[in-house]
Amino acid sequence: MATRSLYRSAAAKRLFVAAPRCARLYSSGSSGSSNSNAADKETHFGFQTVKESLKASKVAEVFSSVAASYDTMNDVMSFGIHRLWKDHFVRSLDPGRKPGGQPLKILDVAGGTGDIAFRMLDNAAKVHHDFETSVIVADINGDMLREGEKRALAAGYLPSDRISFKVEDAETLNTIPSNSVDLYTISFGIRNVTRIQEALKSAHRVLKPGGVFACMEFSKVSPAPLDAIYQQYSFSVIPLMGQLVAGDRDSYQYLVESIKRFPSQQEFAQMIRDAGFLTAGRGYDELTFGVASIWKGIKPLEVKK
Amino acid sequence: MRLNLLGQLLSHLSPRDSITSFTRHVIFAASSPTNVSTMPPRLRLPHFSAAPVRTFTSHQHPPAPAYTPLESTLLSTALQHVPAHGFTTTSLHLALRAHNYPTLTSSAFFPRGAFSLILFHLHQQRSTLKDRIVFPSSSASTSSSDKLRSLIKTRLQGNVETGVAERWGDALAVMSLAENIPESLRELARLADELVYLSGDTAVDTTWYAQRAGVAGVYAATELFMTTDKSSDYEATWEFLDRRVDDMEKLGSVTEGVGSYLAFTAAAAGNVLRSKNVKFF
Ligand SMILES: C[S@@+](CC[C@H](N)C(=O)[O-])C[C@H]1O[C@@H](n2cnc3c(N)ncnc32)[C@H](O)[C@@H]1O
Repeated sequence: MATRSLYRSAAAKRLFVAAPRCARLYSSGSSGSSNSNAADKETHFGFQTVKESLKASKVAEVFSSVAASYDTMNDVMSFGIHRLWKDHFVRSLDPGRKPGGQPLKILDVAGGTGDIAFRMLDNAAKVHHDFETSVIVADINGDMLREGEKRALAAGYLPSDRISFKVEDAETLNTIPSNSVDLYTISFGIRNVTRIQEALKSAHRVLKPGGVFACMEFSKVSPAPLDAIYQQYSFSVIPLMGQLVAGDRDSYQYLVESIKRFPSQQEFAQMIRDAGFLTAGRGYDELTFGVASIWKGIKPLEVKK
Repeated sequence: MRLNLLGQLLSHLSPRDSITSFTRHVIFAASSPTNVSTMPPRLRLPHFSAAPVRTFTSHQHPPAPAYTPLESTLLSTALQHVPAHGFTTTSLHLALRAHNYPTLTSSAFFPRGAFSLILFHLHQQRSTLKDRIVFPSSSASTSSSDKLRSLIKTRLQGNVETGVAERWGDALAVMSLAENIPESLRELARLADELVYLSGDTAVDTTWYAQRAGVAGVYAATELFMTTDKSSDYEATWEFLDRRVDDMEKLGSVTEGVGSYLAFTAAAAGNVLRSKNVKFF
């Protein structure tokens, strides 16, 4: 795997240099809207404390700068196993039209370059012979979406009605109607969102009753000795790898710190319940000793007020 | 392998320390309300807090994963489909549909798939055993091993009454998959606790481990025998049970049962997987 990603990194680096750093262009709209009710609140950007209004644009900057070398970044962050996690995530949801059911409307938030969306379309097509299930890929960052669109064209998902790309802030999901979505996914995106509870509320709003919320994110490693090793790896090795393979230490530093700041598995499960979702058992499943976890929730059929 | 599994079972059975049953009773009585209030709401079992505190045995283990009313409803409906469809996701999907939930919710409601359904059945059977058991009339003079015999029989008849007995071989195969073994053994240990408690045996001495392991062994061996029993009304199973209880009385313990049970279930899992073209051993 090391040889493969290093090999790929040469190409990624070239692409990366060519990728425009036009983050502000795409984030101005959304940070403008979150400004209105949070004028001077502070939030954290990695371990730096920044004005909430600035976080969105800082996050956008990170992802604009890694848009093209995005796969390299994921390999570095997950020891190369993010592909397996994503496969598992999608397989466990098994999206697609079931006998006697309808095709699904899926919303993949922070969908970036389409990794999850493509897998879901493949599952629908290959497992259920369903070519009608559709995915909206929503992301705050236009660069990431454009990279996704490029890949969708190359892989033959476009042109078609099966996939579309939309610039959207997870906190508001302004153009997504209420009760319109069967499945809401967010993979390695939620920790970048400024106000997580707002994003959960919006997820609840857009889902149909009986709809499923599914989130995959880096999480807390246990047991403790493993956590110590992991902390060591993530704080020293990951930014260094970022420097070496993508020429971008700062973005990787941010990613590592944002993982550390994200709530624990249990806390996040509680936030999901607080937003009105049902969860089973403790509400999450850990992957690879908790390096990442999957949380799922169900919007109840009768919404209790 | 066998020793190791037995060790795991014993570790679930072992009392945490050597305090007497009376102190343990008091301590758990005092601490359980606190436990309940610090649990997330969905874990609170109405009947758990309402149940009279009995002896330490019923509190020896942390409360089993409890079920919300909705989960119970869904899983009960799914159990009704087991005679026709087995312990499968099909049974779970049919239950979801019956209650207007899309089948897409399946992995969110039942993260462990078919095993979630099996655990629910085990939990149901164990927690209702005390209400279903009727000891022979001369109860006071009945020996605890006779009571044990009746208890195990009542528990296994639960599989017949709910119509899952014919599917139980498949359930054992799923239970013995590597990722499910720890929870399966934990559940067997909880059942052994309950059986010993209901049989009225309150000894806390050096026979503590042997006794529970013995009961777990008798139960496991009989349950296993039952999956291959073709006699009418499972007569052969009840005879087998009689002999195992007699053995236990004579020998003091029958720990071999657990070892062969798990060895068999592992082999059975291998067969099921092989039949699905999955390489196992
Ligand atoms: C690590 S990527 C995840 C991409 C993809 N889902 C995956 O699993 O590979 C995080 C994405 O979150 C997006 N993002 C950050 N904040 C967001 C927000 N408030 N609303 C929507 N997307 C956001 C970023 O632009 C970026 O594309």
